[in-house]
Amino acid sequence: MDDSFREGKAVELAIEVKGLAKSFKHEMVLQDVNLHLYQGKCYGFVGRNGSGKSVFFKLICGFLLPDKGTVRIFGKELGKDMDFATDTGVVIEHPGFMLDFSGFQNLNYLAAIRNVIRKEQIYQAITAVGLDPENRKKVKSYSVGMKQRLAIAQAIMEEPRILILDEPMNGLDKSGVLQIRELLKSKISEGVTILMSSHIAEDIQQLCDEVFEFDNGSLKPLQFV
Amino acid sequence: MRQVWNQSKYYLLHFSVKSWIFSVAALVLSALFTVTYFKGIQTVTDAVVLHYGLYPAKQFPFLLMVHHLLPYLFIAYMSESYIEHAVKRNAYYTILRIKDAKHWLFAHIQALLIFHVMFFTAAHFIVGFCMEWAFNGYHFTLQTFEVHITNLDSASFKKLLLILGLMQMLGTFCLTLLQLLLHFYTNKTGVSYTIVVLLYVVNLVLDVPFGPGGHIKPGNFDLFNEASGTWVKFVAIQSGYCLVLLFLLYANMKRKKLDKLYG
Repeated sequence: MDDSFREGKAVELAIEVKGLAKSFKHEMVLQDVNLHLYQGKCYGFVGRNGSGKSVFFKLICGFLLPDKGTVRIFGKELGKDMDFATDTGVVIEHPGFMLDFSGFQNLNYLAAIRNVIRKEQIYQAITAVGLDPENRKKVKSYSVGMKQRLAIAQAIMEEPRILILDEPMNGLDKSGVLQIRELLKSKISEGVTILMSSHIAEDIQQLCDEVFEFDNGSLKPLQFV
Repeated sequence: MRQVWNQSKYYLLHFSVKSWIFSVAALVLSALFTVTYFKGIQTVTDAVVLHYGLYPAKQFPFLLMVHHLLPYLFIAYMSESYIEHAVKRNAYYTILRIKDAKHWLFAHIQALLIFHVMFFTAAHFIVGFCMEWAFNGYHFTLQTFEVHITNLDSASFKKLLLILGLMQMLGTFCLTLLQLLLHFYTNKTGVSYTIVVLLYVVNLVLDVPFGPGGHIKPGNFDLFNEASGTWVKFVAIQSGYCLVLLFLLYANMKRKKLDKLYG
């Protein structure tokens, strides 16, 4: 059965990648990557360090320009119909939070840019990642795990239809990992498309509908036993 | 455009309270330096003229060099820190929210311009306050300025300070744009800051009044003589530099360039 039909219902194509290739200084990082990623599914991307996972995510967001190929997000082509990915929340590297403000203040100021959500939604996002929105502690005194949770909260707070999460469990303790896993499961059930990379096999196994491995620039589907 | 303004407001918060406190402390110290270093100051006018270096001087001793450089070094440092945090480290998170690279750049330029206006307004108030506290009266007593006393009353002295503020702001903003552009070309922390500081030092040592950083020696612009109009030439040339830099910055706001920067 076609991937675009699940339980008899049509599922919207969220991301379409065609013939994507990217190289840096004659080193081929990605070549001829073709993917159809559907709404409400979670896709895992694995591979050794430097295999091209982050480059792939940046290409999807529009931060990098492909040498060849196209990326379409909900039918709109990156670089043609829009400069950057729309309706997308990301965790790529560490966000440069303002260290002298609290977690809530940081997200509140960031949310004010688009001004599409209310304070209650910011509260909900912070609570969902296991932080206390009332905590007035400055971000500079946050642990690595707390900063990572806050980064995930900023990605989900505006309720985007796509989440791109590069190693989202980095720095989280065991309870944090479990909490974020549950959060991501609920996001998938709400119809959010998740693209995530992780070095933890358990995250990939529990969350992802399909898994791809980066190997020598190409992307291969991976079967979990 | 509302999103651009919202984004500028967000970026302005990247100038931390700590850096503002340090700047205010440096400006107060700089004013106190003027009060103690120069001998024979009797009036606010004398003090302000000496403080800003409104007198034509061929050479500046090391201490005076530091004194004149200090506020500009702070601005350059705060701008560098801003570029590192707000422009570089936050790019992924802010660009995706605003979606248009040119709007994103405009928001940064707007934030930087507002910062410059705030800084120089604060600087002039602090210097004015310190000098009022230390001295009285708005007339020249120093022998050096006797020639100008006849045509410079209190009102025209305030106008002179306004012109000086405009020159300082425009000249400094021009260098900040250069700093931003150099960041886009080099993508290395500290390189653009070092180049801007070197430009200031070169301007203090040599006489390049209309070059970038020329505002550090306002004595070159004959501000006491209203008819001279040298400052108008300076403002026009610096505006020209700003326009060229803005053009080059906007030329960078293409995906191809961003690819090199943030890839």
